[in-house]
Amino acid sequence: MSGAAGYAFVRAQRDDIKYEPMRNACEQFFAAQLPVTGLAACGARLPDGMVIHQCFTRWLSPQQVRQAVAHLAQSFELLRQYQVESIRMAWVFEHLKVHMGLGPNSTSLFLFVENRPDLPPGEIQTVLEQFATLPVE
Amino acid sequence: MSKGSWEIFTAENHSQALALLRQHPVDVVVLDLEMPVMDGLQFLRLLARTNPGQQVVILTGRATEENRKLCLESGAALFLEKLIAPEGFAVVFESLDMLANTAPQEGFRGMMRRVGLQEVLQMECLGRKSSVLEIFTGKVRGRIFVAEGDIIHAESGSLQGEVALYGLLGLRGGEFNLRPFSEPARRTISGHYEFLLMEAARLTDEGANVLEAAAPPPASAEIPTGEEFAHDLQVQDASPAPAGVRIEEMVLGSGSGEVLYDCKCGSVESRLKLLQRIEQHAALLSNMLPSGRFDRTEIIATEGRIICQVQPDMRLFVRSVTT
Repeated sequence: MSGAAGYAFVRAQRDDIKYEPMRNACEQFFAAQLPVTGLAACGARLPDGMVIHQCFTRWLSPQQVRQAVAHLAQSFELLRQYQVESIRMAWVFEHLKVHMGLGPNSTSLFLFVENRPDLPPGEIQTVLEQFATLPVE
Repeated sequence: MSKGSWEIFTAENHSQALALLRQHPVDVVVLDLEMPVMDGLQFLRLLARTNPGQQVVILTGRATEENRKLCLESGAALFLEKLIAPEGFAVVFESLDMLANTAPQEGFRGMMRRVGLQEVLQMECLGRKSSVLEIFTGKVRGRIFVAEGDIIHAESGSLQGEVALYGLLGLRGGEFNLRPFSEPARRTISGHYEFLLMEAARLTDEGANVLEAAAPPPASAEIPTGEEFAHDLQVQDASPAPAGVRIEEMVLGSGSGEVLYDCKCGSVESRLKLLQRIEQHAALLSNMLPSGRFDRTEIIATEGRIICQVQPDMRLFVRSVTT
């Protein structure tokens, strides 16, 4: 048992090192591109399962965003099970739209946007497109 | 003059008039152009939005041609000049009496910003009605034909079919008239109305409107009358629709998972199962987030655009491609 736990720890350490540039790239992307109009929160899920997130409103807590991102991250896999290879998707609720897009190394971006008709639709698309080609050093 | 056949209410300003109209629906509203705070023309335009279908007559001492034109274009049924002689009042009375006793025209007018075109169309389709929805803005004109609850044709300029429908439903403002049904030259739309409206909503969300993008600058700021509009439609050419959106696959199921309709779907069972899984995920997300009721997922996939809509009484899967 102790050997197994030790192995998991070492692997986690290696992943931390491996995905550090990706994490930095995401954080820089958030700082440079966000927030956009109507954005309530954003999050990214790294290939090792680590979630980074940021809230721009009081009505969404960091814990809610973290939980939602962890859950939403299964969406692409869910679609794949039904032979749908998706590039981007959005979950549309009465008050909230959650936009999801894939980036490099299977990193995924999540944008929690207020569902308001007056919001310019182009901004979110631009952010998702830029994330898809995010340069990683 | 009415010999007791009319009940007359009077108001000194627009707020009193609005309060009166809320308490006592009337056959005809008679307005002067010179009113305190809000003039008669402004109030006429306000009434067109707050009380659509209300018959309004302008009775004024400033009967200029410009005023007449503005008032009639803003929805006044009659524009009458105040006459001092008693016989003049008799003429006014006769005109008002005739108007009050005339059944309103079939169809109604409304502002898109208050009542969405999609809502009007949905009501027509749900009621299994037949009608023609005329739409016009400063730049764009078009018509949508509904026959027994199905959207069968749309046209706007040289565009026809779904492209014209989506373009018209994506307009951000303007006016519409709902008119009695007349058969179009040809039927160009055959999809289920719910899908069509949903696809229109998605395209509107994306902000791409082929009509607004292609529309020439307006020749004038004036909105055409119904007759001008009808005439313009007759002289517009009817060339085939250019590239647009093509439905590749569609499944409509009941809330309990029963298949109500499917079109070109390879595996109905798989699609319904996917909708069920999406419903489960959405329920979990609704518990996590202050998001409100779930409506749909919009997916951009390698095989096209997909919408999965889940409502309590129906589930819909639609895949389309841009041609």
